[in-house]
Amino acid sequence: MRLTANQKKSYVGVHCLVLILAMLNFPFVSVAIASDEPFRSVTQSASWGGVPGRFDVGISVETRVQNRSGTDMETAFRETEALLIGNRLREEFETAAGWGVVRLFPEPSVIPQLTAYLEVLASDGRELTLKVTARTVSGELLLSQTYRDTSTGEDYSNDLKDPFADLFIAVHNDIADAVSSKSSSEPYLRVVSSLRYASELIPEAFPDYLCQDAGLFAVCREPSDADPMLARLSRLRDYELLFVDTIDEQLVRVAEKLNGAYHLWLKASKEQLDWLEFRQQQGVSRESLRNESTFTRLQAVYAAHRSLKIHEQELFELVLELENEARATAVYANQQIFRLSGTLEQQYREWRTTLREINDLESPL
Amino acid sequence: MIKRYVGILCFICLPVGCAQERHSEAVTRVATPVNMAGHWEIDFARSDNLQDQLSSIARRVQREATRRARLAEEGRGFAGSPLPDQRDLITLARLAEIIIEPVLLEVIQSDSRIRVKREKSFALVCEYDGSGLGVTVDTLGIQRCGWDGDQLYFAIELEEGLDVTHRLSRAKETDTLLMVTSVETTATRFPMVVSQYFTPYDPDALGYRCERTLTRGKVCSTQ
Repeated sequence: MRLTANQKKSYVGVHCLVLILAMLNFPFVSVAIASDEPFRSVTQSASWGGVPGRFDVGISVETRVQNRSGTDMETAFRETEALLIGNRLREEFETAAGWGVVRLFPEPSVIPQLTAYLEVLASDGRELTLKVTARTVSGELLLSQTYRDTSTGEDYSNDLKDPFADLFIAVHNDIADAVSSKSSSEPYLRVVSSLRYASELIPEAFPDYLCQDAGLFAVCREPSDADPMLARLSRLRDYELLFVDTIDEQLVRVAEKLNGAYHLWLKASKEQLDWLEFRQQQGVSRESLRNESTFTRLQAVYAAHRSLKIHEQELFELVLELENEARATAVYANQQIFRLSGTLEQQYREWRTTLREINDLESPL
Repeated sequence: MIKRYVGILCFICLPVGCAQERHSEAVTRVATPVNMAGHWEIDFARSDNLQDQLSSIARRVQREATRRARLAEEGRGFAGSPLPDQRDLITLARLAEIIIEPVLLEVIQSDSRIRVKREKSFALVCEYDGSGLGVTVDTLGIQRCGWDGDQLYFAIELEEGLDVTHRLSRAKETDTLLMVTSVETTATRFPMVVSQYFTPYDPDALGYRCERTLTRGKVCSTQ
């Protein structure tokens, strides 16, 4: 990954191609939520609201769902599920139109003017609970809300229909409303984004241009459009987006492969939970086992367990297959192949380190 | 099948009582994993016959009932757990019949994970790091698994007091995989134990291979 001095010249006027063969390592189940958490229960009547402006949107997702089995397979599944959920929200933004580019970032980024950070708190087919935090790149908090949506049997009546579509629509609408009520303009936030990106990647680049107070960032001085440092940073940012977009393409293919199995798992999981609840409501006890329906009860228990496992395992196998397919990423830039490996987050950090090295080689200092 | 079970058990007269605590099997040997990877098909000739196993349990229960009756006649009370009745044993046999149904196995094994894929059923999956039994909890039960010496052990505790254990071991000399399955309920603390022998087979020998998945259905491809 180290760049040699001979490569320095070659980065000027570089044409990048990113070939990504790999990645995906994701997670999956439920977390207890504090009782004072301000939930917003989503109704079934959510409809799309208006869109305030052409903000670029970055979506990042993490799962907080408890890994109850403690297995690596479940961890991988939950991580994958988090990406699918992030992708679902992205689809809502894209459906609404009127936004700028909507990307899924491996971790929160200062490149888009607006970032939606999702934490998956519970997902079991019957319930989806997300904590959503939306901020502008200037640090302004637009939204901090926990959303909970519960599915019904009807939600699973159509093949592959998202049983939690209302939740994603509600999240989108709330973010759109929050953006509309704020005064920051898109061009101003674009400048803030450039300066924050510069300060993260090359802290010494524009040290006095960005002011910070109580977590909020403001532009104190604006760099000249002709500043070569700004042009270089812009190019590095494009490289970073190239990486993110390539990963995004992979994610779309992953979602296409997984959606069918994921939907079946959600449905099976809900059926199990409903069945268990029904049994509890009926007051089934050990004493009642000793009657003529004992076999029926035990057979039903085993059949339910078998059904859940079969659905779960098909999903796990798909996740494992995808993991095996996508463990490394090859980035081709200026006649040089950079190989990235590890999790998506690790690859992202590795690529950002590479961008700093590119900058160091190009810097006149 | 059920009528045969009734025929075997009709002479047993047993008391009925409350359930015992659930049984847990100790795994104490140091893990020494062996390679079980490959495709396996059941060897019916060597495997247990379910009816024979039921007869065996019935005889055990009868012996125990006789022993208790003798103790009672001698004025020595017996405070042991109640013995299963005819209906309990039939239930056990019918459950075992469902659980041991798979006749084809595919074992996929790595240093940290083993998957025993079973035709028409769910896979037995175990992840291990050498630190003891792996525990998996889901909505319907708990699975414990790990290597007990060179045997792969799965214990599944389900709702309603249904306990299922599987032990797999491989005999090098005959290239045989043995799976011993035990099925037990809280009403019958006499487990139904069934041994199934599996021998290697080549899934490609037919010139085509079929795979069934939930999302794609049954897909067959030529080699």
